Amino acid sequence: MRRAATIALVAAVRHRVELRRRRDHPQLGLAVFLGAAVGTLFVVGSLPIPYYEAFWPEPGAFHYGTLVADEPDRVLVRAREIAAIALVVIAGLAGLSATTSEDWDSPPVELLTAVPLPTAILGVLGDELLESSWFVVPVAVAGSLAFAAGTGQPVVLVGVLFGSLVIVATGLVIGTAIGIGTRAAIRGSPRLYRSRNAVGFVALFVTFVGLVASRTAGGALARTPLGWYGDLLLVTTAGVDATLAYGVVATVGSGVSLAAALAVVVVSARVLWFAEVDHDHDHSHEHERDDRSHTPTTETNGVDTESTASTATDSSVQSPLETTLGHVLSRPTMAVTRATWRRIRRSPNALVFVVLPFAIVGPATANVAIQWPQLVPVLVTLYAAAAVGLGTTLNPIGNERIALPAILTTPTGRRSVLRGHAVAALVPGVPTAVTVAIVAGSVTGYSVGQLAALVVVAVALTVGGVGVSLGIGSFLPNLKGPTAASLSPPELYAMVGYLFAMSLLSTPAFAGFAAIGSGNANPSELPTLPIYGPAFAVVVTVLLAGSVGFAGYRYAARTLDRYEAGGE
Amino acid sequence: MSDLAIETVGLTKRYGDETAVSDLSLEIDRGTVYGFLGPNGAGKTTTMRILTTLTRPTSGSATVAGHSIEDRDAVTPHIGYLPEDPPIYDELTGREQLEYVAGLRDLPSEEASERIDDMLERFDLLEDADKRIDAYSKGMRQKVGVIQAVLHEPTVAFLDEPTSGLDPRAARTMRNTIADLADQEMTIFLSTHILPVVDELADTIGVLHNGRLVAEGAPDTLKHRAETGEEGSLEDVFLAVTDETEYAETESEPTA
Repeated sequence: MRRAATIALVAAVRHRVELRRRRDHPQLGLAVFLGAAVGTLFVVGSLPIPYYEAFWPEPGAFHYGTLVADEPDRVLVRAREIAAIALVVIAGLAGLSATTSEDWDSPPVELLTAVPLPTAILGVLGDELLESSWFVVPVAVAGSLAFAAGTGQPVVLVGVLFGSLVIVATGLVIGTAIGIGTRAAIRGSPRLYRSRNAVGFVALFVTFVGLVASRTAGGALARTPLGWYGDLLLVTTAGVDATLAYGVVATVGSGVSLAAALAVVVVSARVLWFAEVDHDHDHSHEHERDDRSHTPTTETNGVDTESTASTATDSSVQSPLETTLGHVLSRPTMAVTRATWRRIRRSPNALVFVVLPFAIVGPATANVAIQWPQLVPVLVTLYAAAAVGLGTTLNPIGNERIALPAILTTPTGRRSVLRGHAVAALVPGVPTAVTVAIVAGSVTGYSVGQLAALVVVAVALTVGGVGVSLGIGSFLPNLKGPTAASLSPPELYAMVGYLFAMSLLSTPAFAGFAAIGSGNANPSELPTLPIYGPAFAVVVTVLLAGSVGFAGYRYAARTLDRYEAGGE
Repeated sequence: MSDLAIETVGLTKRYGDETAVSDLSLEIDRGTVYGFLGPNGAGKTTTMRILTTLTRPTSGSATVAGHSIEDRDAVTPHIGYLPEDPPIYDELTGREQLEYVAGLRDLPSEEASERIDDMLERFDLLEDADKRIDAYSKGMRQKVGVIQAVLHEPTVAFLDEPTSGLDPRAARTMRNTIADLADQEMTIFLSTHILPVVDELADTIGVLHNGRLVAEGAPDTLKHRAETGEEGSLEDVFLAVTDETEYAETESEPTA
């Protein structure tokens, strides 16, 4: 009992710290609110309220509540599917969060010297679960209320609410255990451990897209014991033939699973916190030095160190690319660009979101290819362009947080930092997006004119996207990281906002390129000459991406201008 | 051009109802070391942030190197700043970090390399210059922070606890370096809790308490005016002028 109270105290205090951090940056709280609001809209679905029905016509919990009286079997089938999918999705998100969370990197010393290790671990876990619940619990409660309202039977709420909370708790704890357990299992391999975020994101989103794209996934999951949670949801709903035994087994199973999951968390966190693995120190920089310097090295204190003579020339030894850029860029911007590349190479986790568009490119492209094959190159180009802005430009202030005093007290520091991050993303990004556009357009059969139009769209979206990325990243910075002086991945909500903005920016391109073949008797035969559609796409995309991108850059610059130390 | 490196008139900073700095007026000559003392929360860091243009004052005015702090672009070329936490990147090596800052300051590569090597050698960091900063001790990070603050040879260097985390040898090097920089006509605005450092280096000492300047003068002058009425130590001075009761009674002009 005393231990439970201590765990609750640890979780509550850590959570209070997080809440206060969010309060200092209200836009982060707003982002959570918007995320939960959108999730609630999806789950609750359409409601018989004037205007609302037109605003959100998709059926959801309320609609299925109204079907209970007439189609109870259909409701039961749907409940089993939704319960099973919800468990998988929540567990997946919690697993990903545990994979990326800095809380499990090193032990909180202040706790280890005050409370037993399991208490400290469970306290930290409690804080993590509370944070995850910000988003999930409001959605679950709103969905339960909507369903009960749809049935018109208040007693329904008891079963649905209890079942929803069991699903949420089970998904969160088991997902976290899987995430931390996996992380502990690969802790011994520096290479695997460093790439855990990227692999986790890809795996999760491929799973999600698979669930969404496949019409049979929900049904298949519902036939497993995961579907029994649907019975638990409807156990107090009169008229629905939910199996009480399934509901009881689901509840008991959750209890057993939670106990096992907590044990896994304790064991895994112990491994993570006390592993003696030098995973953060790759020696790429030493190899780098070896590559670029042919001067003899001296052995000092067991570490290869270049002689004084050779180090004196280090700053002048640059790659051909850096030398070329050095002729074009100002010295401050080049300094930021070079430092950003070096930092990314040594903290690749900061680029974890870059792989995101590629994770969904396969399934989504396959769907589009069936109906609108002429749009596949535009879609693939959009993915490539969007990926460019998902790196350090999406967290320009968060990545500089401890260095801001130095940057802001240099004459051109503010602008140089933004430009440097932008150049660091665009130099590899523009050629990549252009290559993707040319390859995809050529394979699809675009004419030379259409290819040229697509290339211009690719460049506009990439350059404009980086501006948008800087703006959104300045508005929603991620100010947490492995340490105050290291790169950190962008804020999750910044990533969502950025992808949403990019999808809007690319709308004219889709509209324009959709015109290809529209006047043709056989739409599968693409015309050999560009028509007004792609030209429209080029003009509008360049104007839109250019103006919005510039606005994003200006916003980021103004945010840095307004920055006040001590007032952040 | 004015002989003053720093001049403030009635500088005040409020955060809501809290007054961090109150009616602060300073006149600091060029090429001198100004020791800025005060208990925790006295407003020293806020003052430094105002003077380095990182925070705007609520009222009052200030010039640094002859430029108004309202004009950030005019002030920043002339200043260097070491905050309490050195503004450095974990992912870079010490040398890369310094090259980065030299680039930001638009220093030509060759000149930057020379200065970097010189400073690395002076601070005994040359052997570890190509190791990543995340492997550095607190003292080594502090050294990198100090070097990057003075690398461009600013007119005024603001150093917040520069000897924090340094071993005795490194602390000695730091004190010598500060003295050398002052000899080269650089003005050092030095905030620290370590009174012997200020005693040794400062030409003038200012003591801040509850946001107000409660004592100012040369170290010897202040020592003579210590509460004991006899020749005391700087610690006596500090304790006397920052005593809550005494201060509340006097609420007076700086003891200069």
